[in-house]
Amino acid sequence: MSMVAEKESTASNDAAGTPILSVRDLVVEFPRPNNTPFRAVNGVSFELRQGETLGIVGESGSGKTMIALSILGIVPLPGRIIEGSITLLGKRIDNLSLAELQKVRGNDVGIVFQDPMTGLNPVRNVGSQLKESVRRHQHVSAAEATEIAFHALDDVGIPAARDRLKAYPHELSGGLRQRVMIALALINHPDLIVADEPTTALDSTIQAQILDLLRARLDKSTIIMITHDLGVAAEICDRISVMYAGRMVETGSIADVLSGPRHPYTEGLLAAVPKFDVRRPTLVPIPGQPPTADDAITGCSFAPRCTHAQSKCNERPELELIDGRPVSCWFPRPGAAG
Amino acid sequence: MNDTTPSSNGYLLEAVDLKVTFRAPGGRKLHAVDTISIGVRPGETVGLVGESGSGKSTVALTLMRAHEPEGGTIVFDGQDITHFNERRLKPIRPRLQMVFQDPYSSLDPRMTVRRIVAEPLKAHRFGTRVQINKRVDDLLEQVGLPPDAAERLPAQFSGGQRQRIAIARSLALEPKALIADEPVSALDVSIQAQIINLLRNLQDRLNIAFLVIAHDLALIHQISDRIVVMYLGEAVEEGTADDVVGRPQHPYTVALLSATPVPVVGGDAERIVLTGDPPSPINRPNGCRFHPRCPVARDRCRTDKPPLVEIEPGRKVACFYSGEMPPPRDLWAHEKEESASTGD
Repeated sequence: MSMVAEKESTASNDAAGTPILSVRDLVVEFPRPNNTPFRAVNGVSFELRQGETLGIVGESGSGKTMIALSILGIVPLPGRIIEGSITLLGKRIDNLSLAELQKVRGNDVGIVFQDPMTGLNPVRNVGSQLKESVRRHQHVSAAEATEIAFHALDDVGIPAARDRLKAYPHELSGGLRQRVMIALALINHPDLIVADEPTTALDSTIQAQILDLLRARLDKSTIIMITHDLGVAAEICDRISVMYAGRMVETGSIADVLSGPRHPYTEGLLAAVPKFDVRRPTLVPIPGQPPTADDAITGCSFAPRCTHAQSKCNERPELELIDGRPVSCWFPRPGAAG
Repeated sequence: MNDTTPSSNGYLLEAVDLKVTFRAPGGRKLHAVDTISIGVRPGETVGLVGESGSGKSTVALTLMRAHEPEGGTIVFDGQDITHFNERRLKPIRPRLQMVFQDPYSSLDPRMTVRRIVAEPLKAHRFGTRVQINKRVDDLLEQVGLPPDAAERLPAQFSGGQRQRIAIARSLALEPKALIADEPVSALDVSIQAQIINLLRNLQDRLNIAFLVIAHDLALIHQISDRIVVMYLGEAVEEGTADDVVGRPQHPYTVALLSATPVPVVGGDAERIVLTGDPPSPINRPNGCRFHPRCPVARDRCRTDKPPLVEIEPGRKVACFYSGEMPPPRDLWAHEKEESASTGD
């Protein structure tokens, strides 16, 4: 927190504040034998400001999780970042050594994964995992670390938090495990939280609890939220970026994107979701399938499925500002005005 | 085609007071399904909704006779099939089919699509090879797959296409009833709508009795005529889809509705967040099973179990204080807007 305050006083006084995280032209490639490499992320840029929650929304294979893993420095081999930069609090973090990265993780960046069973160590109790993280990043005694761990669990609404320090992950319900993940992510007061599908594995009443917790507990935090669910994004994100085939196709405030999508893919996604309407309009599916690694598309990646595509779409559209927000489409939809 | 023999209430597939228990470690009983009655008429889609552990999939598998019920009866097409053995079930199978959630594990990866879809036809001696091949081609066309799909392997298809293959197989023998357990939850959003629309179109054309099981209430509302809401092995509310979603009576239904995120700006006026986790079906709470998490529970709910009561024809609720919680969404808001604007 103090670091941020320092930065704001020294940096030029931008009205919108200094970005906490800045990702520029990120490209993540996976080499393939006897084939051209697959670009899971293909030139993605975005910024995150203090206290903001950015949702990165996309379907499986769109590259959204690779963005999260790139920030954390854990792109699975043989994939790697081949272009671009990731800057956290003014410092490049995409080219750090493992030792330097470990300092960043936990200290500057907290992580919440989809499945807390893989995010937590199954053979160690919850308390020892929390304490390990505390003592790795803060100079405190073992007794102080225990107190910090207790408060961390208590703060995320875990009942009987002191007893739960001794619990193993498998002894907890899915909802409680996800609360432990969130406690672990927050315990060293990170400047940025990366949450990858944090509620996807949960039942809807438990999902509602966790979304409530994220809203209450993380209101002031800076968060990147990876999700496939536009409804979940609508609940907690300030801004969203929609990904398709490794690229961001549209970014804007959650209200602007949901009520006036400009990219045909975003519009299509919204039309495909059931929305509690007694008129029960027939859902409008997006035709075809998302492109696979083998589909060589030179123009707009969405054009083969787009009902508005024209010959111009054989050229790749760049992100351009439409009503003040970036959209990559030659023939953007009318948005809310239409 | 077989003529169907619906029961007096018109149900083609019906479970009466169905009860299913499993043995849990330590010799204790796990009450997966506790005295549920559910019926599906020809041409009707019934949605069974609940969270994990609510027993909804057990209902499906028990109706398919994959689990032995501890109590209750299963009636299909006028026959009590509750205790049929495999030999007597075999002639039933063609008319009662199922689609599973995961099209990656429900299709044999070593078989071509043609063999997969032809398998039930061969097992039930549908006809000559030529007739079977013709039927497979027709089915693939019905579910929107290209003609050359037949000679390929499942691995060459995406999740949505695989689910189409599974649906084609389930329709091969012209079933009278189809049970689908989470048919779209393994699929991407843009593909889900394709499969939902496909199921709806097939339903309109084939007049089957269709039981859909899902955790997503918005999805269930979209495709069902009637909805049954399950909690901890029991039905807590039942009614037409618009009534259950638009005029929910049970506090759990209200909470479930409120918890379902929809991508609409300002779509969630007031959220009811339940505390705690669903209790274990091994160690169920006394009284109303929902009372430990219920925002309106009172003393009586801790000791007495509310029966499932018919409050209107076809509308059932199991709650002493039903209707106390206001619905989180006004589903008829657009009608009011329209009448207000025409009144000007």
